[in-house]
Amino acid sequence: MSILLPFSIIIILAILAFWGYRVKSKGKKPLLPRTAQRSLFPIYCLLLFLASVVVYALPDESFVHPPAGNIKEISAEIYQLAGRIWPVNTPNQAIYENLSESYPLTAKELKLVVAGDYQDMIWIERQEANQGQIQVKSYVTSYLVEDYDITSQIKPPVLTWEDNTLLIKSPPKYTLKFVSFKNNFLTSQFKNPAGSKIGRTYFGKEAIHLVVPSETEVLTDYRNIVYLN
Amino acid sequence: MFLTETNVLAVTCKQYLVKLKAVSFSGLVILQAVILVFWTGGMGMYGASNVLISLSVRNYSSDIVIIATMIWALALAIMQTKKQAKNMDFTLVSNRLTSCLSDIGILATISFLGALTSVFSGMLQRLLMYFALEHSTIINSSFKPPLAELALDVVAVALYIFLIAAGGYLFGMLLEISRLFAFLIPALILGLARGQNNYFTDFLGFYITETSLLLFAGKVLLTSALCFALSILIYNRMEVRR
Repeated sequence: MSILLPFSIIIILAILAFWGYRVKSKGKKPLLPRTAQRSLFPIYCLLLFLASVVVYALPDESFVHPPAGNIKEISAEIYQLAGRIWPVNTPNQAIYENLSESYPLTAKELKLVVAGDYQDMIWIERQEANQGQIQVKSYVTSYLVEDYDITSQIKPPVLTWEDNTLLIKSPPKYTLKFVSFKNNFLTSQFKNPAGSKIGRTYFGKEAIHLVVPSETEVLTDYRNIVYLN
Repeated sequence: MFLTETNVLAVTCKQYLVKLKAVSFSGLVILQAVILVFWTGGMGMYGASNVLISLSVRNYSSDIVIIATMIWALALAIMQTKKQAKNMDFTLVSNRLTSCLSDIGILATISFLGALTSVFSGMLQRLLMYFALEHSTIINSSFKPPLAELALDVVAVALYIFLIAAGGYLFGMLLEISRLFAFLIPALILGLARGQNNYFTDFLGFYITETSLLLFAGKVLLTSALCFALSILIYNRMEVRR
């Protein structure tokens, strides 16, 4: 696309220059033959009509989609917990689980190492029933682009388990590019009379929920930790 | 007593059909197609980032196509008042009133067709973007607008184009009185706009702050009727054939 563009601009400019020359030199000769002039507009209208039909027929699956599985619908407990710790951006904001792992713990101590740019909260919960293993879940609140939920594009943290040591790393820095189609400027006066409906774009929050056996001691120098019990 | 009885409506309709055949829409098609192909950068872009994610959103709309169509309609409205176009009327059974009424019909038609093509060019733009970009980057909520919204777009844009065409028609008639208006009126409008004159902003606000489509249509039709009435008055005072 980027290579083709300069060439096509040159070709179009050349055609326009040729037309300009014809208009100037021959005056009365039309830019397009009469038959072409007559058929151009109906063909263009047909093209627009077909384009509209194809646009509405495109499969919805090929676009950015909000993720399925809002935690609110899965676990009211986690949702309440998250709401208590995170000041949620809006009431009823969605919280999603984007990672779930479980590892065998063979010692009384768990070493927790946080590396890279990871700065989000880690919630640690001790459970009697959870003997001999740890459970790690990653939660994320909605990332919105113009009110549209793009959380499905957010990468979860990278976990590595070795010798009773849990290494948490953030994924490498990445770029998300989106394309949005807007209402035309003339009709927005009828659609948003108050002028207040501007789509919100904001980043969500992320956290790791770590469930460990009740006797386990967690050794870490990471500071952004909340002990739930 | 005449051999053939005519009435205003029948003559206007005949003139309208003859003039419609003379209007070339190929200019509009080329204009819109060139904008669609080369305006790939969209209407704007914004971004945000944190430690991990860099996010950018590019916005697309048919605004540029609509503006270009308005300019095309304005030029066409002015051209309808030119000496060559008006002299053509005298080759038909015609009077001043039927000539102007058929012009109004032509301007209404080009407003509607211009609005229809410029709004639906947005759908062609979406399709081009769909194949040119990765599908996964397109936000679906705005990609398939409801049909009612498209219909509203066509009506509102057609009304705006008609208003501009009516203004252009009056401007063209004033130009036929004196060429001085070619400098005076644009200078007046630019001066008022640049100085953010209260009367001028109130005048614009009269249209652009109207939230009811029905009231907006009333305002546009009333203003256009005023412009056309003035144009007919001016045209009536001109010489028969210039």
